[in-house]
Amino acid sequence: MRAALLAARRDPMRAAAIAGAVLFLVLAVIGPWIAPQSPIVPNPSERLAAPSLAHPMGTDHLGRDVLSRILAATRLSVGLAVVVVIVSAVVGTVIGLLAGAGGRFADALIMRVTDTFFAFPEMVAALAVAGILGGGGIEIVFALAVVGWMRYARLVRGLTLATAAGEPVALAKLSGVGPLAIARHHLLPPLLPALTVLMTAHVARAILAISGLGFLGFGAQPPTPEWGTMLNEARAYILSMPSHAVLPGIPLVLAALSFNLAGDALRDRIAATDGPR
Amino acid sequence: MTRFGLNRLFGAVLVMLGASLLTFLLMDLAPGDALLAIAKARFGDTVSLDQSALDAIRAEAGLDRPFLTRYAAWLINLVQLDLGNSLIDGRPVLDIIAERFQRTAELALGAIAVAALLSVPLGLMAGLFHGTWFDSLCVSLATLGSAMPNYWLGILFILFFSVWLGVLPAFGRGDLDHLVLPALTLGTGVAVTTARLLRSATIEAMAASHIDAARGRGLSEARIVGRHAVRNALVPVVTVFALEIAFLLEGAVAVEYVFGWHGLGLLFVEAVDARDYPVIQAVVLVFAMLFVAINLWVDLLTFWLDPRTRAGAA
Amino acid sequence: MAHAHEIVLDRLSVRVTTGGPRTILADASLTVAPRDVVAIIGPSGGGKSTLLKAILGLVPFTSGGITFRGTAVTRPLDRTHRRLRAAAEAVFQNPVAALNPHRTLRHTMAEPLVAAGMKRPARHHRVETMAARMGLAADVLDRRPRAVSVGQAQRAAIARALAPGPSLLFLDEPLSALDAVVAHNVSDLLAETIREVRPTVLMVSHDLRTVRQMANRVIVVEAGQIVEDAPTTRFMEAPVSEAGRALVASDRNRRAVFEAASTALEDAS
Repeated sequence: MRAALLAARRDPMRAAAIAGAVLFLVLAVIGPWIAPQSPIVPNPSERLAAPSLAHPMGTDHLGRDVLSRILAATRLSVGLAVVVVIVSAVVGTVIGLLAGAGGRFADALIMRVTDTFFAFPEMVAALAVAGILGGGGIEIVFALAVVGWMRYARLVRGLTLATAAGEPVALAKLSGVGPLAIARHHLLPPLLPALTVLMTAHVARAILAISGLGFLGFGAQPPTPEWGTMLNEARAYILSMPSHAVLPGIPLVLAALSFNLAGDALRDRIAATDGPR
Repeated sequence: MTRFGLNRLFGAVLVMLGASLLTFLLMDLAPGDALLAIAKARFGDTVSLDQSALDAIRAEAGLDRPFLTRYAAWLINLVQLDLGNSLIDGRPVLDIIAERFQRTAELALGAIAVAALLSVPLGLMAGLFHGTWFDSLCVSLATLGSAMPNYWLGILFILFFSVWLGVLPAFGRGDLDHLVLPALTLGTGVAVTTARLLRSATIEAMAASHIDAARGRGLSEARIVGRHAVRNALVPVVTVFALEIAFLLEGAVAVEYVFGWHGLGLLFVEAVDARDYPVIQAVVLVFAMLFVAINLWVDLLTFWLDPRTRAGAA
Repeated sequence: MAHAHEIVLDRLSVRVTTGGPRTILADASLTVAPRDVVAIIGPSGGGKSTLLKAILGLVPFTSGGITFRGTAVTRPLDRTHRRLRAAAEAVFQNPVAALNPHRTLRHTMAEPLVAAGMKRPARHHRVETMAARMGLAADVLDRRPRAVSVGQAQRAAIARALAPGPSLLFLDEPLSALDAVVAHNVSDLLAETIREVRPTVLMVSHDLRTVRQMANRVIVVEAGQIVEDAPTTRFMEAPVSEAGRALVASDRNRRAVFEAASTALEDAS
């Protein structure tokens, strides 16, 4: 705890970023519960109301409280991003391990497939998959995992090639240790620092991707609150209520910024502990 | 060089083949949908379809043939540049793409101009004045920029320039001034990455030993910066700029949507929305081919520019 | 079950093509009886390690064959070869490279026992016994390789190899990464433990003291070929090959210097 405080004093910006990332993760869980009003039920008598005590950020075109919608949206915008990252990381790690430790043929084949998936621009491919499947939570996760697993596969493969050729693995194989135990005890531990950094930075990209899909109409479907979807809806009345086209973007940028900076901080931290060996 | 080049070319061709297979597979994810989409495009939404009508369409569209046969047929058509017809208006997909691609190219050129104008001076200056307040400001802006979705930036620009100042048009096409906001939005995103890279490359180049040597030979500071630092810093920037073109094409999807710019990106959004499968397939494929081609070009360029690999190959 | 010959090598060869075709091991023939302790010595770069690794399947042999307990290995890593590997454990030269840096010595030592399906209490007991035999204190066992000395790490590596009671033990210069005093100490422990566990041992070494202490046979490998194969006592008295004579002579010199130094030290004190 004291060490954390000391680190925070030395680099307040990064401490704020890490705190911000944690805050957004917490909001992803409790956001919908602390929303003062229903983010979904329309209230036709209060359409496009200006900010007031009852509605600090005003109401949208269906009379719903914008603050409540922004809070509730955290679950999809941030929470779903975390799910996307976990699914991508697990799939990519398994594939990368197979390539790195499965022999030269498996490696060549898998890396060709990985290159092929890399050939598609992330957003274009995600849009096509999500658009064709329709925009539910599972479909969004699927679409973004399809375009998100390759970085993990490449990273894991690169690190695993070296580990798998090392003496500890040769000795373990000689002792009759099975492939799963070798993966768990020998191949995975050296990956964890780099995976953590990649995952943290990926959360930022996944947040932007989810709201990007939402903005283009292929992510979360109305009335589900999601920052990108809200920004898209707000375009229709941008002249009468410009603030609605601005407000949902603020938590969106802050969340992406927090996870980006937190990823940088983790990377430097790991480089510092790993460096002098 | 030739051996490396051929190797890369072969790899790129393989990846393109794989990409075409994946694209075809994507449409196969929802074959029932493809069928219905054709039927709807032909008979309209309201007509209820019986099974025999659906079967007739299935046979006519060749959807009852085995997967690989259909893929081979599609691939053969593809090589002959026959991408099929749009399900919406029946026009050849190739014509639509050509028309829309031109609009996207205009936007991309504008964005590249913006990106170059922003990133080259800012990145170089930040690198040369490394550690000063100016440098920190640039780094902070770049950090913020990389967390900024371009469509939101577009909305902010619209609010500021069109709604508040009223100086530039927000939507549609026409004079050059319609290009300003979309190009600014798209170009800013590209500028962020490029400036960042240019900055670190400048810092590295300034620290390199031959600069010290040049200083030792008594060359003036200005000439050192001009002759050595800038040129060395540009080598990675040139390659990254090429990669940025790829990201730019991707970013065009959201930006064209925000500004109602009728390019490839907006076409794609419309096609996905309408489930116009031939168009979706074609656009995804065009994007993928451009990506692969750009990557190939960058690989070859880096190889050719890098004195170490050149010496190794000679 | 008992075969007269544990391992028979019949003109075993290893050729590599990377970096130009080279023969690292040429036509090595050798017969090893059960419980033999065979020392493999010779100048560095002569193919000693490759011989060991080819038998272990860590380097694929390109021609010739291995017969393990009467059955022939026809291709690297075929069924018989896998049986050979299953009976074997190994200790490499440098424990810093050979031990998993992320696991405690205790986990590393237990690894072959877990793989053999030994239950936890028995496993725990065996690890503690082996550790005690190799002179490793209990508190060292819960540290990772980076937090112990090289000598301690190598003793853990030896304890790991001997814990499952292997019938074949391969040692690739197990003492060369240790400094003289530690090597002396570990050598004694190793010799003692091998006498108790009684595996068949193939040991690459450049230290004739260890060879004299443990091996009943010596083979000399030079330029990829086995140039001498003799009982230890006879080899030490009258080496036949040129490389063998050089090794024995230089060892005599070293011992003479060492004894002179010890005497001088004793006189001084």
